[in-house]
Amino acid sequence: METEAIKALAAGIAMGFGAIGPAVGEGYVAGRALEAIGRNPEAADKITPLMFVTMAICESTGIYSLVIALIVIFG
Amino acid sequence: MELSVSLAPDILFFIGGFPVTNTFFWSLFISLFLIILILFVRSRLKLIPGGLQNIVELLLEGGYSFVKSIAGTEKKAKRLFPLVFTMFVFILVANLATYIPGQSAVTLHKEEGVVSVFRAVIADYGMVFVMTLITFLITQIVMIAANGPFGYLGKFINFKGPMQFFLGLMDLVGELAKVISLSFRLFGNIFAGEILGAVMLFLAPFFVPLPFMFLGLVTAVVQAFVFAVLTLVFITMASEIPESEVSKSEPV
Amino acid sequence: MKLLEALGLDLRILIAQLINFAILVLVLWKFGYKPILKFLNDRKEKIEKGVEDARRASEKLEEMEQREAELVKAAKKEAAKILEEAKKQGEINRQKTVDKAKEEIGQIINQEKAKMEAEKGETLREIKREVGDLIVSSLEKILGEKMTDKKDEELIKKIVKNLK
Repeated sequence: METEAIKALAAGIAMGFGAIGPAVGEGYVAGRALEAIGRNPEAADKITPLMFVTMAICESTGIYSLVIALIVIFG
Repeated sequence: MELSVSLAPDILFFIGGFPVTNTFFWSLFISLFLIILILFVRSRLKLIPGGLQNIVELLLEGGYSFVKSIAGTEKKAKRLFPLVFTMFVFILVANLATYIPGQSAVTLHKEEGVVSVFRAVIADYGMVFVMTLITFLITQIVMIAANGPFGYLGKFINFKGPMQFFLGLMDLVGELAKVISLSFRLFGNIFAGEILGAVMLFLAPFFVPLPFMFLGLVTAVVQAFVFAVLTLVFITMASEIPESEVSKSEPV
Repeated sequence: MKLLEALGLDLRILIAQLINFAILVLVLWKFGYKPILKFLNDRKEKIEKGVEDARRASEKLEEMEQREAELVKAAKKEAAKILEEAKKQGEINRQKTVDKAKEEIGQIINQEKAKMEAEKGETLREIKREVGDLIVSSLEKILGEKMTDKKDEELIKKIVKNLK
């Protein structure tokens, strides 16, 4: 196989597998946040921004895989 | 029509050897827009708000109280608010500006080919990197101010034991990882949104891209918010370190 | 690194962006957020003061209304009391007057009765006496003779008894 093809494959695999963790994690965060809001609707204003921040932090690993994929392709 | 994906912004023209890229041009444009907008609102402040003033007031007041709730004290909030809020507004407007219809049709013909005049500012890593760098530098400065220069160095390099040494190194790595994750989160999201939109438009020009565009709108707001809040949290955490260490070491 | 190149990082552009962003922050802060937030704060204070004033005014009004109502209530009570007393007093006075009048009338009637009784008795006695004298004189005339006192008296008594 050509190097280019392997690079493309590697980037795709890195991104694909890297996306699993954040997806599950963010889903979990959102689910628990919604549960909390359902239990205590008055706290929704406080929970929602926290939920976004936490989700953003969960996303970090996905971002790392994106960086790796970019390095693999362009680096 | 060929689907072209480029990470780097395209250079529009040179001013005395200085390359003006389309994102730089666009960011200047957005900055100018924001400045004019706020000056306009300020010059027409009325006791009874209406229309534009309402929106600006809502954003400013809500933003300030939010910054205060995270920063803790009024003094910190006053210092952090301009930076954080400007980041939020700039990213938000830059993201939303990509939804102005027809802008991708404005192109500049050059020798290398067709170059689009407008490009999502945040989809250029340079701008994001600059903002992240500001966050990073301020965080380090605040940390040094809070811990003292030796305390700051001691946080990362210490010889109290092999475990502490290792943890200090990990902190160092963590600081650098913060920069990468913070910048690439914003960049990656917006860039991916752009590419997704382009691909969808390429595959099916009508109606199909709409849900993705809507998702992109949500992403635009959320990512702007996340970037600003993370900046705020990092700086606040950096300024609070000595207190937490004191309170941690006291009961032991 | 080729990645940096691929990302299009150019030091000159980065510096330009930094300056651009710094200017944006400064201008927005100095000419935007600061005066607008100050304005909002001032307005908030003004509104708070207005609300406080309104609250105080309404409180005062309420207090005054309450006091007024109390006053009216007290006055009404007093008036009712006075009226009641006056009524009572009037009743008593009337009763007294009536009683007095009744008594007086009774007295007068009694006096009149007694006087009349006395007059009647007097009249009767006088009549009796006169009748007795008349009868005596007439009998004397009729009989033409002077009777003894004893006989005379017996006879008069008999006659008078028969007359009755």
